Amino acid sequence: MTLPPLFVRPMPFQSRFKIILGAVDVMDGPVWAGPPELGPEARAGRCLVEKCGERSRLERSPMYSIVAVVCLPGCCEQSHHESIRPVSTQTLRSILAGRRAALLLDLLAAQTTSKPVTRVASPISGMTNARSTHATSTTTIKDCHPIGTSSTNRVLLYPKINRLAYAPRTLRHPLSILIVRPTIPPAALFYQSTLSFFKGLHYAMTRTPPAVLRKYLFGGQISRTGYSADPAPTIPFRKQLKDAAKKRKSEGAAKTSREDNQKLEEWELTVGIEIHAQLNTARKLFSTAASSINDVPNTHVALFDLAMPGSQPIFQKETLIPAIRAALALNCKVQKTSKFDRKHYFHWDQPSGYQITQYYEPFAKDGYITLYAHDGIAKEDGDEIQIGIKQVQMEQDTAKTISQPGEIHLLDFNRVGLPLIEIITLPQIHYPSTAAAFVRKVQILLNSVDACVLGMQSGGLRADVNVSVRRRAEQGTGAEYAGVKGLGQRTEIKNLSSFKAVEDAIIAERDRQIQILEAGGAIEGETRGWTIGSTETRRLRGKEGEVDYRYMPDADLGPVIIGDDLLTYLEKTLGVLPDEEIKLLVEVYGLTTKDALSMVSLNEGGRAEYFRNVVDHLLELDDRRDLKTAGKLAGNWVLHELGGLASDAAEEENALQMTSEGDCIINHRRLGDLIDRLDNNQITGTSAKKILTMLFEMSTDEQKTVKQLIDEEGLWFNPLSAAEYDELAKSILDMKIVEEILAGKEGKINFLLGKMMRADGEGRVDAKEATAVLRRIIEEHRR
Amino acid sequence: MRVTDLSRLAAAELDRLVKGGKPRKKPFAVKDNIATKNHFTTSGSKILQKYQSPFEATVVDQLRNPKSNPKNGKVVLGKTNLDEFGMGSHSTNSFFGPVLGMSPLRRHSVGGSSGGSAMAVVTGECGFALGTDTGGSVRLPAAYTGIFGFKPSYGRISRWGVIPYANSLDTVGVLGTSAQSILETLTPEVMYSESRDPTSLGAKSLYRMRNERKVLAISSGRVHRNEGVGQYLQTNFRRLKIGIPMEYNIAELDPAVREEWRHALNLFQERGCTLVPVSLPNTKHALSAYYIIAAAEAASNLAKYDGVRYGTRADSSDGAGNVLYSRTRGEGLGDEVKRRILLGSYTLSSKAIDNYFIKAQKVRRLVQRDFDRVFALPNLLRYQEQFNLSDMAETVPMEDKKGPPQVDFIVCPTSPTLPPTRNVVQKQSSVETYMNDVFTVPSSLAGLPAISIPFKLPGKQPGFAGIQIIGQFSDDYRLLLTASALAKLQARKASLVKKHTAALIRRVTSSKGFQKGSEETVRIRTHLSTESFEVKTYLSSGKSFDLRKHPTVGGENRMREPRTAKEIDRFVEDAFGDWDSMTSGDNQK
Repeated sequence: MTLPPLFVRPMPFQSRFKIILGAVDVMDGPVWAGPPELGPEARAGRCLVEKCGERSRLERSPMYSIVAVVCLPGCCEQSHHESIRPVSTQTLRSILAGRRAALLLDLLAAQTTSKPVTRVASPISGMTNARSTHATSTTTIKDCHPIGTSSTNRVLLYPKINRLAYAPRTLRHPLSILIVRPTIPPAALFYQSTLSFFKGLHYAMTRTPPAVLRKYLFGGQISRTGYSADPAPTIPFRKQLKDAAKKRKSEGAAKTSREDNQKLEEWELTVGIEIHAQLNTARKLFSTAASSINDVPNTHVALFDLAMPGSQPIFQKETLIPAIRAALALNCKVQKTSKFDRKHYFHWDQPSGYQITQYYEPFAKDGYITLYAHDGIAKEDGDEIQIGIKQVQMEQDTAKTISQPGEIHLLDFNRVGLPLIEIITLPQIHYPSTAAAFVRKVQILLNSVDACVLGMQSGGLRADVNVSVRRRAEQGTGAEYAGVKGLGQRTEIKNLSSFKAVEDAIIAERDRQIQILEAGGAIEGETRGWTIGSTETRRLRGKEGEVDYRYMPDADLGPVIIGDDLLTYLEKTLGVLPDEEIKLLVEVYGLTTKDALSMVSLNEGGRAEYFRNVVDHLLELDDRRDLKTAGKLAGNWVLHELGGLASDAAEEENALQMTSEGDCIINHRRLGDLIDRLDNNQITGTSAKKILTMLFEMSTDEQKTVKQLIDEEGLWFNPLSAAEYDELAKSILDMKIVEEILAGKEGKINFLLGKMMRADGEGRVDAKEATAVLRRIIEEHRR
Repeated sequence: MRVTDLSRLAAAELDRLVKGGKPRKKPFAVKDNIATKNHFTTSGSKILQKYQSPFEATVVDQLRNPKSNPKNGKVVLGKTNLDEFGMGSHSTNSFFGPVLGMSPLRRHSVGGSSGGSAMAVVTGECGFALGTDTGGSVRLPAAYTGIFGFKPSYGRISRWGVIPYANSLDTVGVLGTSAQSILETLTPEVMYSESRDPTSLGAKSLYRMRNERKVLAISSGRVHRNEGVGQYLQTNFRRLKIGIPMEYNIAELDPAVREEWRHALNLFQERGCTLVPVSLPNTKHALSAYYIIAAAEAASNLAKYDGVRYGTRADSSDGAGNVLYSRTRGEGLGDEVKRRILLGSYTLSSKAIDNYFIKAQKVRRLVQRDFDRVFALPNLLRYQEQFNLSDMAETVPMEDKKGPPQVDFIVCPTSPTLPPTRNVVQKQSSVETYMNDVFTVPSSLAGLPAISIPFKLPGKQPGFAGIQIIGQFSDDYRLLLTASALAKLQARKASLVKKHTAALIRRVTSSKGFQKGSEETVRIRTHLSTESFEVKTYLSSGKSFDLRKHPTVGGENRMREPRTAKEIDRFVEDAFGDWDSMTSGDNQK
């Protein structure tokens, strides 16, 4: 297979490149961390490379999105490379078109090497609709220099983004290249990440400590046994997976002990969360400067963003679209009129000396999110729990500070003024894991409605938590928040950037507060911070250090009035939210929750669409079927059999060419026909799989009907005659086993049955009949 | 005048434009808190003393740019001094030193904060100058220096590029030698809608308001369908109703100013306008509300000056003294600015906001409603309000059962006093200086257009007082036309007076009691004007006569005031006939 044109011309060493598919954990914090001054975005996402065969399993998980990893031969172990083949142009294009790169590691690259930064030009800058680029975009690599020696390897990362509707012009760098130091076997890195994958989908995962990674990336040092300081003995991938499972088991045991922590008989924990999420928009909130992610610093800055004297804000109406979508996804009441206020405080990342936010009249109020058991809430919360949302407000982001040694802070104003929404919950969360589940759920919801595209791992989502405890028996100090009375004195923990951090920080803060209270002390209302990996929150500033924000309506900005037409339109086009869809698939179509989850998360919803088409066709063919039977039948084939096909052709990112509208190489009618014939016993299961593979291998235009294929291959099911059964049974009969059966080990008959089934390659053996025949023949032997 | 930055570039530009000794393009001066590209834009502050704006204010661009304004392309003469960030009433709070008056008023305050712009006009260096008016910053200097100062409706002239002081009150104003020149400056291009200024009235709003004004004028029968605004004034001047706000007749009002106020009202009355006393009951709270709102907004707007991105920065680190930027801001901002920032920060603080800022905003709304109730033209920015009569104070006079009379314009003094000397100003506390703004602040709070017109005071030094006309929101052009007409009336009357003073003197000197050689003074007062004339003459008896005491003119049975030249002549003759007989009688005794 040839390499994609994407990499062809400017790269003299293109033939040395290989692209393997990996996954980015979109749910968890960073796996490799850049230097802290790069900010959370640059501290890239978790990278997970897996053996090609595992890809379809990954695809089913909502937690991961597929990335491509490019590396040079020689950088990885050979065994690792065997199954790795380059992806096709089509695949890469679809990745590029559909996904937004959160991780621009140019800066990182610039720091690790003195050579010019390699950057990939955007295929989607200037386009208006993400989907249109499937056809139109071309990608080239600019300023490409071979970096280092052949032992350099490169990693491309594409974080997940789906149905990107509003930000395209801002996407200057959909992907960039991280230069990793040559000496490390990437497998070691991948190994660690693989572990976390197997820890399960719904748990906060342990992450590689940034410090370790920093050492690893910049110093080439590996301090942990997992990274094998001595040139690693080649571990087969299968063994890696097994080890991972083992480790997960052992950690699982540890986890239960922690879960005990959550049951605190005497004390009740109360948590309120504020989540800041970056909206998916083309422009800043109050200026026409483009929103960018990791562009060259200070290149997207308007006069107003810098608070130049005499410049004024112009509210960018378009930012309302993702904001309202988010509000709708969070079941909020969107307010007809909302206003902007100024929140005053001095900090260098806030050029005007105030942040424009919506304090007095936010644009959305009174929402809620329902969390289910499968979202990973605490056991004590039962099957589902509703968390109220007090309000959702729009506000400006701050500038990015790049700290240098010697108390020097460099400022990047690209981020200043980007639109954020702040989601403020009611204090209705009582368990740390529920809090983490809440944040995770918010991310999924915002992502599914295109309101926000960056996850926590890339700094697009930040959470502050308010924690208080009180004895269950009595009322707290009488603190009140948002109408909830009798709470204990709360403290605020700022800037938590991963789900695990949310959970851990809450646990630590709760324990700290309980300890103080039990020792007879009092909790101070203060702001605290949390460092990843630590066991205690640390005090940032007390109440006396609190800033009076002096909220004041911004006189330059008129009220925002949201028309009913816009609201209705957005409500209509919001689509089915993940929860509803899962519910539908489980209750109406009879899938298991697990399958439903996978179905929804695959192909940006295209798999579910395809599934429904197949079910519809099945019902058309035979109206005696009910939805549930048809659903179960089709679910198995659409999910597992098609998935199996895809994993056999794992070099392609989307081998089925499944679009988000539910189109695929194999027409849903064909698959429907196939399932129908199988269900009617016109063909055997083996034949059906064979036909499916044939359909998959044929190109779309030369595809034959299922009937034609069965005719050609002669696969019509014709049951074996009694004589044939006898003959078959006799041919496989093993006297030793027959004697055992006769001696009373009845179960052994199944062994013979299996043998019989295998002997007939076409799957014509009917188990019932075959067992009867076997019994008869064995009985004959008794005599 | 102290021009902070009369740039070489402007001079070169002028040179280039001058052909045969006359500049082809009119130069104008720009207040230094309006951004221009080729000059520093300092706002009179140390913190911006070397600040060069990367962009130009829309209003300057519109005036300067021959492309958008081909006939009237003008050239920026320079930037004018001001109170730091516009905070002050006497142009003395500038980092660059105070603005000085011109002889013989060298010792007097020129008013503020656009004092530099006012002096640029007074000295004749330019035809007009741009200023900004937040609470009277254009009108007060105009009144103190004897020129015209116009503040448009809020949002009528783009503020893009105007360094904000209190952004809900800031407007760009024009100072000029005549209302006509201001009218000519403010072409539709300048008063256009601006997309970069969110508070600028949009093109749609402007169009809607224009249409609504026209419909209202036609439906009320005040104007014919085909008449333009100018025509309307010519034909309908007599139908104008002028409001006299009773609350403005305060005890502190200087008698000379009150006299001029009466004079201005007389001029309107002579032209047939109806004078109506109106009540604006919330005026007394306006000044305090203004100083709370303006300070609060200033505290917020001035938070950006930290020396990080632009401006002067203190030598020490930003964190010196444990408070971020305290050094830079402490060194860079002046005392009055700091005072207002502190005041504003306090009134916005969570403990004080309810008692100060929010109450002030409520007062502001009340002030605006006062105006809406008084003006015949509704405020076209708001839904029309039905005013409940029972809410009004009993002192409010009623026109009929429907309520108090409604007027087209309100006429009042611009400032309660004549320009004080700078010595007096220096001794004043800042609260006392705030008092200067008592008449200008209400229209700023309500966002209404207002113009200050100079009225000449005979004899006294300084020889003028500012009279203000306030119009309803969006009524800018009619206001300017009316002001222009009033100024013409004033000039015409002055020439009449001059003419007939000469006649009077002739008549007096030829009268019986006249003796050549004596050096006594007689003061003659007539109804020609509320002004009094001092005629140095040579009367033996040395008595002063007030013609107004004459039974045919003064008192209860006073006659209609003479208006035409013929009437005046007859009146003078009559009066002197009596006077002759009286003086001769005296002589006989």
